[in-house]
This record gives sequence, structure tokens and C-alpha cells, in this order.
Amino acid sequence: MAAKTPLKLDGTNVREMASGDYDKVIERMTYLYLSDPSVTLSQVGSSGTLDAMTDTRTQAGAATTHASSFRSAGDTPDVSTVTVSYDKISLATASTSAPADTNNIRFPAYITGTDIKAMSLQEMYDTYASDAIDAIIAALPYQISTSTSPPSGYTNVSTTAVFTDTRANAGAYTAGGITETQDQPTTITNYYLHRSNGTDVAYTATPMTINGDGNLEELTSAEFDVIAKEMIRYTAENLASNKVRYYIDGSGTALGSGMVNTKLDGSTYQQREVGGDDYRTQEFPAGSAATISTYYLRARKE
Amino acid sequence: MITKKTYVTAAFIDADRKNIEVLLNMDHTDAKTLTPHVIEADPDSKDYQDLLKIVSEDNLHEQTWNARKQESDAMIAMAKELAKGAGIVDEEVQVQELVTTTKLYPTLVDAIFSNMENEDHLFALKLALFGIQEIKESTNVAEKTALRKGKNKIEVLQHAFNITGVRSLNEDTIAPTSVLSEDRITEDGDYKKPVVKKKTTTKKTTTKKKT
Repeated sequence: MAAKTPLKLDGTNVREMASGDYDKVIERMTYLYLSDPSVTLSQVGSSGTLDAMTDTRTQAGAATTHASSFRSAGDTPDVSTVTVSYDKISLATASTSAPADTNNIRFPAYITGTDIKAMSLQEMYDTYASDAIDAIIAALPYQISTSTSPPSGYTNVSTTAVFTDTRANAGAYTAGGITETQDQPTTITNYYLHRSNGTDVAYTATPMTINGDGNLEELTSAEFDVIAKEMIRYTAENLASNKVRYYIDGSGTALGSGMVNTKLDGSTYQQREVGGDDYRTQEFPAGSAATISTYYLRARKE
Repeated sequence: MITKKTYVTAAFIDADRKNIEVLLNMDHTDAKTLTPHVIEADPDSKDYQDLLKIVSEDNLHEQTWNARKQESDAMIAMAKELAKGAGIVDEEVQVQELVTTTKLYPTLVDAIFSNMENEDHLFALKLALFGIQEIKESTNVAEKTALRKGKNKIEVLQHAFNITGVRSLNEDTIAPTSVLSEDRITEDGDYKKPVVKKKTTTKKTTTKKKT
């Protein structure tokens, strides 16, 4: 099988579609898919199907107390790492069926050189599937951003963050407050998931099909929309080597902002004397923010 | 998303220089709220291609150094405040002792020839080197880039020397980062001792400003 060039009605003549017509079909398929995707992502409370992401932050060590002297830095427990898992993105598929090839003449007609034939379903896939899926992924079906206001052309999947970067709130720890609560985090950045609305694009020409009488007729835009949408939704969900899937990291196209896990990279040793017979020490988080990891939501064709 | 209109600044966020945080001024957010957008430093990434239309890779490295230097300065300032508050150290005395020549060079040699690939050390060394105006303002992009990417101290220093060359001077000069520089020198050319709490053992030093 191979890609075919559909016929179109050009005034009163029947011609093969031009490459510009084909490009518009691909753009239209992209819009039809993005406005009603068959592979979707959602924000969930826990146990999402995509890989979990980890946020880490430092917390103060446990405080020491002694009746006559301060414990040394070496004898004071070190700061430690608090780890929080974010497993909040789930992928779902819509259980679509392959478009039916009614009477083997439902799909666009093409010319073999001497004959006019209707495309088979496999020829439809060969003609459109790969390019359309590439276009869908390039259009970024989902995006991660740091705002609950979605980017232009996108809709919030949820205003609950799918990942949150936290760090120890170094300013909240004071020597005068020893014994300080060990874990005193502050939120640095929330990351949210948004879905593309797609961009409505019209066909420059629609294909011709063979009708029940064996004659050629031009499909209306609405009629070809139905076929195109059925095909691309099924392709994205089920067609081997052309499925759309989403992952945290790995290969593929990055969708929006990376999600950064940062952590303070140092600590400070502090002392406090209370009432002459209570010598306290504690280590607090301090230092600069260091990037521990950066996660990307990615789309790929597989 | 990354356009001249939305772009504010950008800097690498990791030691491997693989990810860049781009601060954007987006229409959909408050004008005063910048939107951080993290992208891969990948030539195939559209975001990265868009970014390089606005700012050069060399400028990205420059901005990264500036951002990290600001963070580093802020951290040092905070540490000093904490130390002073706790009455633990008098940094001025310690710094002055450190620059006494006989003590400086063993420390310097030890710093260079130990932990040669330590990331924190490398960062501090590169930061200090880029504090030298001649390096910072050098137009030798290849050497500056190689210096930034240096994997060990020797390599980093070699590239620094390639930029500065060997100076032939007839008089001693003051290192740009020395406590003997700038406001530590009186108009008469005498060294002005820093205000310290403890009595220092360092002798009064007389030196001349570089002319």
C-alpha cells in the first residue's frame, strides 16, 4: 500500500489535489482531533498512570539540648531531605473503532492512471495518518505552565497543580526559635496542565468519492469532517507506529514548561541558651537553590 | 510563546547546562507577574530556537553567571548576618589574615590542586575568574565558552590564562578582589585598616594603587 492523491472538483474539471490542498486537510484533521481527542490527560489526586515526579526539600535536623554546654555541629543532627511524590497525571483512551468502509467506496477516490478507485482504509492511513499525527504532536496537544491562566488557545485541565516545587523556608528558621519545627516548606512554583483547543482551519478543497451509482461526487466539508475525525481519533489511539502517547520524560516533544525540583544546597548550625541550664543547638536549611531534577511532559508517536 | 515581546530574561538552571528558565511577560498574567518557562537547551527544540533568535548562547551563559553571582552574594550576605548575630566570627580579621602572602599561597595551591573536579569548587573558581574585568569583557568567545565548560580547575585556569596572557609589570598590583583594593586605599596611597572588633596580628601594609 502507499499514499494516494485524492481527486477534487476544480470548477467543472476533476483533478488531483495539490500539495496545498493536502496540507489543509492535515491542518483540518489536527483541529478535528484537538477539539475532540481520543487520548486524553487528566489531573488526578494520586496514582496517575504517567510516571510520578518527585519534589525534594531540606528540613532542619532535630534539635539537641544539654544542661551545661552546646553540642558541637558534629554532634547536632544534620539537615535531612523531605521527599514528596507527585503522581497526578493520568492518561485515558476513548475506545474508538476504525472507520467503516461502507460498500468499499466511502473514502476519497483517486486515479490509478487508467482507473478511478476509492481508497481502502489502509490507503487512507498511508495517505494521512503519519503526517496528521506529526502535526498533532507539533501543535502541542497539552502544555504545562506555571499559571492557572491558560496560554492562548488552551483550556485548563485543572486548576489543581500537577507538580509543586517546594523548598525549605530558610527565613522561617531562627536561633531564637530553637527548637524549631523541622519541616517548614514554602511553595516556589506550581505547575498546571492545559489542553489545546486547536485552531479551526477550513479545507481548500474536499475529496471526491464514488457514490452508490458509480458516479463521482464531491464530499461536503461536513461529510469529510466525519470521515477524517473518525480516522484520526482511531489512529491516535490504536494504529501501530502512529499512536499518540504521553510520558513524563523520555523521548518526544516537550509540552510546555519543564517542571523543576529545586532544593537549598546547604545548612547552618545555630545555638540558643535558655535560662542558663538549657543549651540548645539545631541545624537549619540554608544556601542557594540547586536544581535537583527537571521533568518534562512529552508527547510521542509510537 | 517566546518572542521579543514576551521575553524578559533567561538563564541556565543546572550545572549541566541542559535546561533554561526563561522569564516571560505573558498577556494572560498580571503585567508585574513574570511567567517562568523552563525549556531544554536542545537545538531541535522550537522553544530553544525561538530563544536564540532573541539572545545569543554566549549571552545566556553571561546571564547565568550574573544570576548565580547574585544568588551567591545574597547567600554570603545572609551567612554573614547570621554569623554576626551569633557573635561567632569576625570575618574581616579572617580575610585580612588570609591575604597575608605567606598564608595565601599554600591555601591557593591547596585549593587548585585538590578536588580538581568538584562542582562547587569549579563554580566558585569560574565565578571568581569572571569577576576579572579582562575576562568578563573579553571578546574571545571561544576561550570564554571553553572556560565556562571547563571540567577541572587546570583546564579552567588554562583558558583564563589564554584570555589574559602574561602581563609584564614593573610594580605590584592589587588583585581586583583583594581587601587591599578600592576603598581600602587612602588618597595618600596608604592601606586603610578595616574596622574590626578584635586586635589583628597582621602588620600594616603600604601599597600603591595601580595607575
